[in-house]
Amino acid sequence: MGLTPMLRAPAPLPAADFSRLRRRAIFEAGKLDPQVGDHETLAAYPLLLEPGVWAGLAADAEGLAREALAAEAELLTRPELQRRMGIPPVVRRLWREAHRRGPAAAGPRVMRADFHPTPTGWRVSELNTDVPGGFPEAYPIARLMAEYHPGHEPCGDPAGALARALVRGLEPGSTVALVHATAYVDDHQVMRCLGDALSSAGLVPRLASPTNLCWRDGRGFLAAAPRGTPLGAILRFFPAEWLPGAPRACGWEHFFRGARTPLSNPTSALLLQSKRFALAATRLRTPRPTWERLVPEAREPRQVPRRADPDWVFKPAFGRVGECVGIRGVTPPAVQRRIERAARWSLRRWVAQRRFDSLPLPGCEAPAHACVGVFTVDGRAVGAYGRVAPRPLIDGAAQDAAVLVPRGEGTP
Amino acid sequence: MSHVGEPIYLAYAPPEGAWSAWVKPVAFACLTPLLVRATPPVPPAPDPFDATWAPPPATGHALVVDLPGPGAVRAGIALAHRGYRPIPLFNATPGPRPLVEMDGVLAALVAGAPLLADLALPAAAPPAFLLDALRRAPGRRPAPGTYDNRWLAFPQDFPSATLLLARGIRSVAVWTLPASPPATDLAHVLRRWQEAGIVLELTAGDAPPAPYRAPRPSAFGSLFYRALALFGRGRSNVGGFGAAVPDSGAAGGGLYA
Repeated sequence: MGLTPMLRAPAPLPAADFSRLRRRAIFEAGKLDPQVGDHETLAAYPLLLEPGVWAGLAADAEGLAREALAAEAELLTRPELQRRMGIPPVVRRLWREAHRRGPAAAGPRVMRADFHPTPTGWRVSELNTDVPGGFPEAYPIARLMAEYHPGHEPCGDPAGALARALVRGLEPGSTVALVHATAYVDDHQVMRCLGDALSSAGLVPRLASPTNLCWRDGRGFLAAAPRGTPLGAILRFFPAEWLPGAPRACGWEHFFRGARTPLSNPTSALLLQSKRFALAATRLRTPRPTWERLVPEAREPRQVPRRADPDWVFKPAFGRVGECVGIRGVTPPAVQRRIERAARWSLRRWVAQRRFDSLPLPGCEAPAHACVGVFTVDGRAVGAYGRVAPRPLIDGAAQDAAVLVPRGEGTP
Repeated sequence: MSHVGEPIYLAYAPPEGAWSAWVKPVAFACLTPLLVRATPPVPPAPDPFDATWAPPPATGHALVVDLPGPGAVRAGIALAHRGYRPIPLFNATPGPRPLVEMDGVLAALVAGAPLLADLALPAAAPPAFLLDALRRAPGRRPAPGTYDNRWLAFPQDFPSATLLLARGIRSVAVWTLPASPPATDLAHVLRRWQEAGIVLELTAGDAPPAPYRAPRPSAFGSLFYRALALFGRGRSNVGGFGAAVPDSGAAGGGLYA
């Protein structure tokens, strides 16, 4: 059994138990991508947080959420910083219009902060403020895993918390569009999980892509029923920076300005989703004590001396799931060369972040590095899901791991 | 067992099967009790899918079947009789007025399950990966009211060349319709395997497989290939799990818009 001051990894489930848990995750918890390439996407063991650890993580995540929302409000009035962050011109233009004519209506805010154990405590690699994923793994699957670990429970139920936050501002039975990139199985399973939570909260979920919506007087409708009842809210899992690629006829611009239907998240969440936020943050007036304590320094890639590259991680401004993250000595050399070349030559599309030492989980048969993503809804920590990888890079090849806490410590 | 699709899934993905992990669960998760009850087993014979061309299973071959709709499943069952384990990779859901017809595929999966169970294939049986050649709905355009459930196959849907080689697979034969080269998305997979040293072959099922050289497809090796394939060419929505294309009629039923 591995043990660190923060979390531990118990022995993996026996093969027969894991095989059954995997099937239950598919058929009871909606896990539709259990395999990617040669990798099983579900870890056979959970991450067990030590007593009291969850309370500290939750407090830090809540601090980050508060600071993020305050920084976002300032950034919306600072177009010169938006440009520096790599926000596309069309998006900046729409936000300027929104600033004059009024922003789109905002629903509950959900975000996820990714915490990594290091020898000096937790460090946060990034905030996922736009379309954070991991809802099925955080609760429905974690609940299944908890059956094998008596005395433990999931940290919370982020999907349920989001649904409860959404229902507070809506009429019972309101229709909520779950807008997502319909091509992605991993996005679809997130939407189905949220759909189940919305149904339990008395709302009517409808899966849709941005092209399945239409707009009238700022109100969103299902395009299949344009003269029906307007949508109560739109829950978006379609990355905001992809929206300008949708056909103009679907009215995607409403996501940026003029929507009277509450949007969760509003597209202003893109401001902190940009990994280049850290570069702009130094020019903000908004205080960010939690951010400065937990998030590593960032630089323009061109300002990083080539000989110092092992100390720096290169990330695309709008990369997701660890895509195209380059760490010398971790990323395959050929890929690393391409990433570094792109990072040094593509202005405002990449960022360099000072590398931190990820503390491997001791006691595991194979090296395992962990990341705990803590969800907040409207600033309150509501749950977490973990990922583990054999190398200190959490990307698409990482496994999802249930995060469990001692019974009674989870967020109700 | 709580879900009607679970025993069907288990027939294709038994826990002991060496390639079970790659079976896409999506189609099985969409099965309904009504469909399962209404589907008779695959008729024993005659079957248009003659798999006698397939090399014996102990010769280091894997197969990829890229045939239209339920034909891919029936071909997979025919190959199971030759000793191959059919691995369904269908990554789409059924829906109202779908662009890609899924009901036939689902029914074929249900019908084939008891036959597979009866065959009791060895755990190490080599894989026959099953794709629907109509997954991109060729010749059909999304029209108002249709359900866009087109999908693509990606390299990460398959085992890597490294793993195939480690498990003794030296050659992959692709079964397509006559005069149909592998589709572009499959070409990305095949090219990767080829560059790693796997020998490729092609057959239309009416003759032994012939050697095949996979051409280098556009955007091959791009760090952003997946995003390019799905979003970079003016198509914001291609792929499985589509949603209904807008029309002026009434709202769709179920969970879909």
